[in-house]
Amino acid sequence: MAKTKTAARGKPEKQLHDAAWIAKQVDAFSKDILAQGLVDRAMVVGIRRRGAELARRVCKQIGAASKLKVPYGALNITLYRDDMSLRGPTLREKSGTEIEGPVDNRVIYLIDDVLFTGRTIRAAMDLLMDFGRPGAVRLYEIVDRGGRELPIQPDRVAERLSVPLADRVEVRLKEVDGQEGVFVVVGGMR
Amino acid sequence: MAWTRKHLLDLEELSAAEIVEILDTAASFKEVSGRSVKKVPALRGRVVVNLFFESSTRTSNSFALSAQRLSADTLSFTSSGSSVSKGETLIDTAKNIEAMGVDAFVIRHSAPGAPHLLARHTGCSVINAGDGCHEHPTQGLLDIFTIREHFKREKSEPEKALKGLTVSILGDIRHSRVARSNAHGLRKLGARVILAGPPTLVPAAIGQALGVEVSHDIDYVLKESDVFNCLRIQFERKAGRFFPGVREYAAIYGLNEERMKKAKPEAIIMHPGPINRGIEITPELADGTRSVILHQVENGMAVRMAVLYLCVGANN
Repeated sequence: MAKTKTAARGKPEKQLHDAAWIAKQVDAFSKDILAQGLVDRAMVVGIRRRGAELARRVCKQIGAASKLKVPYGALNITLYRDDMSLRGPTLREKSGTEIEGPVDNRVIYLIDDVLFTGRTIRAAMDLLMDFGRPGAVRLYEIVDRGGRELPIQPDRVAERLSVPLADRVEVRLKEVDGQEGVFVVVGGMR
Repeated sequence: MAWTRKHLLDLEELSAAEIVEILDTAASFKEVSGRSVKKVPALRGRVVVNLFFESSTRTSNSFALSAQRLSADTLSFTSSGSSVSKGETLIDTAKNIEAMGVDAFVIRHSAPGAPHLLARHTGCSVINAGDGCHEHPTQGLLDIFTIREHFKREKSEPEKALKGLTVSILGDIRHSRVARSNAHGLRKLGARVILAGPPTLVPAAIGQALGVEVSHDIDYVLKESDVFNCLRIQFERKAGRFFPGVREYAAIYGLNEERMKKAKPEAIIMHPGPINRGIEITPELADGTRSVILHQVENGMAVRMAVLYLCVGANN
């Protein structure tokens, strides 16, 4: 396990996984979705930004493996957050929500990077419901780090971690972060 | 950046980064208006009061609808038929409404500075929806949003967002709060601004005060501009006294198709409404391919949602 230190934040961090591991999980998610046999009703939706990027990769992978074009969606949950009174109205994502086609009766594969309190997923589900009535919503997470505050559990998770609440688990993607991997930033939650 | 202001009083006090923060927020809200369920829960439980002491179609409805799209409750107040006609002061009126438990005032008033006064005397967020001849910040923001979107400058640095673009604001600059908000905002984002029209309506001193160019030569303005923002002649503010006649004004300063042949082919036409058709602009141009007038109205929704979200959200 390589230990590195990010100069920008000055907090020690360790890398748990690399780009190849993330690619393997994207591949596994795609195969899993195909294996469920619902691909003609499927829609792959990610939560901006990293979840949306992962969803885009999953869509691409499914397309390459099956020649099927699965609709894609990216959710901006800013307006559904429940912590505006704590964190203020700061905009974390600059792109809006985009969903290819109606969600009614679709099996939504909701892709996210790190599952923590569950509040983001609650917000994402509320947002999805404003677009229609999905047939089902399945939650796929790269990392579940524990610490849930709401009764929300993933349908599939690549890795479960047990880390102190003060540490921050990050899935970094090159399109968003310029580097790729799973990291734990010690004391990263402030 | 972290948004910390609970009021939006004018664009003069905002930094380029703050303006861009509002525009980016608005851009991400724009798709909400295109959904079948046009409502998000962001301001659920908050109350936004429209306090309009002057008449308005676009602004008051746009603010009311924007607040409703964010799930806020709205209350509309117009001075006619209220206790203002019995002599109640602005501050007393506002404090009484505030005591009913509200979170934000959207105020339009004929007196410049009325929103600033209100901001000093209430604990609510105050959004200026036009104060006399001073500013109309959300109109300025939606105009700038429309320009930035049309010329695809969303990714630029705040101070350079509109660099290289020349925006001319034509017509009744003297009475125009829209011109002032536009000039401040555009200049901060790096645009070149020309205020143009008859010398009586575009005094040189306004250009100096705002730090922008002034021109009375319509042919020069036509040649230079990427954007023409036509303003309404404000007859209710006696603007008709500043030139000999409406037909003469239309002939010398009005935009028409013949005149637009001298403009850059990609130049666009804007108008904050309401339009005096056939005076500052011909109906053919207002409804033509260069016109982005209805985009302005559409963008106004997103911009006002963003302003309400940011200011009411910052007021905890």
